[in-house]
Amino acid sequence: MNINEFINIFNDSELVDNKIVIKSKLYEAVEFVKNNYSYDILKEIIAIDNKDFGIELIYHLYTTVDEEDLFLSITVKNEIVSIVDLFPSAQADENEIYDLFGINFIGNKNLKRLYMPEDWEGFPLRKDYVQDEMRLAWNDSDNV
Amino acid sequence: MTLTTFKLNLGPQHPSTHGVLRLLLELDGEKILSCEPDVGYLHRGMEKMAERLSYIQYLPLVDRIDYLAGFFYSELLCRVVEKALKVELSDKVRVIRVTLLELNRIASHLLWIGAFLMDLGATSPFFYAFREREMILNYFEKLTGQRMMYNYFVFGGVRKDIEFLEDIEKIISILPQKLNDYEKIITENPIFKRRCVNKGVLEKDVALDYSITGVNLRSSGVDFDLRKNDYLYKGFDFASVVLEGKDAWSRYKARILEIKESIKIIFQALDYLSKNEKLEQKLINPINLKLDNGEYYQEIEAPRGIASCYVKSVGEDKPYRLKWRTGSYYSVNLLRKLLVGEYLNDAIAIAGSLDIILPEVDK
Amino acid sequence: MNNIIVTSIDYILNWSRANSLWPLTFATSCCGIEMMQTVASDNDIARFGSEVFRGSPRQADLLICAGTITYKMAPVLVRLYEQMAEPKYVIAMGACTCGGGMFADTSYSVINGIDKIIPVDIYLPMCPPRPEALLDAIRKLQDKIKKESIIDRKKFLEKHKTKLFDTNSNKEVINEY
Repeated sequence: MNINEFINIFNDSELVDNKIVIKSKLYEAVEFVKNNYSYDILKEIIAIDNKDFGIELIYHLYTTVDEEDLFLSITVKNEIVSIVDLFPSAQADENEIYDLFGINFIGNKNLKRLYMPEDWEGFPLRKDYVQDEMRLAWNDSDNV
Repeated sequence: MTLTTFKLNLGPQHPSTHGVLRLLLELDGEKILSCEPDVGYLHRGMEKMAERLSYIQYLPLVDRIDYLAGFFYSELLCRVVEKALKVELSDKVRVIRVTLLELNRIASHLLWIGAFLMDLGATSPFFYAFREREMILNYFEKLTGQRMMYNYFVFGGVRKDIEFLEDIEKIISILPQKLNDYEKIITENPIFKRRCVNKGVLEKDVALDYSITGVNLRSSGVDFDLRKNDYLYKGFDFASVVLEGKDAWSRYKARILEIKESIKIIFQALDYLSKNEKLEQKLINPINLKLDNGEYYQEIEAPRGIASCYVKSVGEDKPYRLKWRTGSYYSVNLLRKLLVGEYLNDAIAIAGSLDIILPEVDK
Repeated sequence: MNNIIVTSIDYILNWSRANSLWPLTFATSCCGIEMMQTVASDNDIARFGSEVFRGSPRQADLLICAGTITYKMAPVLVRLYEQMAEPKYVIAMGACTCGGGMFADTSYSVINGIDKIIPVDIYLPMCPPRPEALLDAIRKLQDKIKKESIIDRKKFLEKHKTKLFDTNSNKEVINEY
């Protein structure tokens, strides 16, 4: 794909070692690369908790036509627009990130606790996560 | 009079969900109106554990992400670390790794054949497939000391030189006959065909939209195989299996053909290994192993689709963040779409044909 | 006189219980594959009368807990155990079910051993145990059953009850199945 053309259109974006960092308009950017550069697979969404800088989401797209990878990065605080109607596979990733990082994806109606039980408190993959004291009580029991 | 629909809970303890998958199905009679997969019954927190353990401490754990193809995930972690430290593997190490990966792929596909046919109600193929898989596992045990969790690949090479080549030779010379036997009893079997042909049709666009990779995508007519551009497989002559059938039957057929391709690769690898060259490897000292600041990414073609590993390091001896991408997780998500409109008795056949394995889903 | 009757009943009951242990297909992870291998041709669990794997807990006598148990799975395991009819026995297969195994303390979601929540008769460590080891565990369980008395068994089950905690009040939940 032509990265310069992309950066011209989304003018708050920049190229930082192999990934394009955008500040806003995530949905439009993904839609743009899907329609114009035939990026047809969303391989995964990677979430990283950068402590005070917020949570970074990396959208990893791939095109089977040109056989190229694209990493789109955006930093969010608590919520971001969902791209589930562009790529249905995002449902899986968004639900995982909702469960483990506590980020709300606006527009995705199917979000729920996935890996953790419904009554679990906290988001395990955040850096400031403290283990659930209540559950640890199970391990202290002397049933043996 | 209004017809009412009802909800059916399938799993998490169910013999044919391949582990602890739970599906919430909404049914109208026997027709499925909607499907909501519920996963996480095996969530062991692998990604958080990586942040607490050093690289060498984490290496034995990653075999458990996919216990049917453990080599693939330790290969992946080794490759990320090698990429970060810019270590090139020597030819001999490459060939050893390819041999073991392909044997592991065969073992994984064989188990799938057994389990899938068991789901459809045929018991004998299960015994046949496990008999052949046992030969491969016995070889792995002889070489690595473990049947399923090998921990044989290390950063920069392998733990020791490959041995017992005559065992591999025996396995791959027996396998083609056995595959022919399977094909005789399974492939054209009218009952099997009735349950699989035109069931769970996965169109190309849908497969791409749902991020399906690996055999499932290739049996929908997309030629997408990471092995072709992988430097590990440089010099090997093989074709990636692409079928146009799109249904459960062609996913079965593609796996049989893929086993045959893997056998071809192993034959070529054996030619090289039988020259008995000296094993040269630059092993990375795992004690106090620190990766430089930055992000590292590697993906390989695992038996259940593309597997990838993302590591972010901030210069410590532990990863700052480690993320796995596994093929099965997206196959489970696909069930939302694929099961709608099908009958309940086909649901097991369709879910089984996607080769879902739950530790990969839950991580 | 009383003792003679009890021992004779014990003998007959134990003999019939020990030689027809029907396991429940309860496989969560890696050990489940080795359990499948135990059923398959090379190891053939049928030699010890345990080949009849049941899908429903109501028909099973033996719960081979094959694989890691997480907090989300724990209520399911307890419910399955409660649904099984007496006499019922439990084999904790694999290091994870014996004491958390590789995941003990480092993982936030794994229970350090199923003996915290259900009574266990035989512990089978290793990660994962070989099929031969599972066969050995079944033999050991048979020996144990052959020696036990009804009264001792009752005492054992009274001492080790199923246990689940309510996370909101941190009090033990009483199962009402």
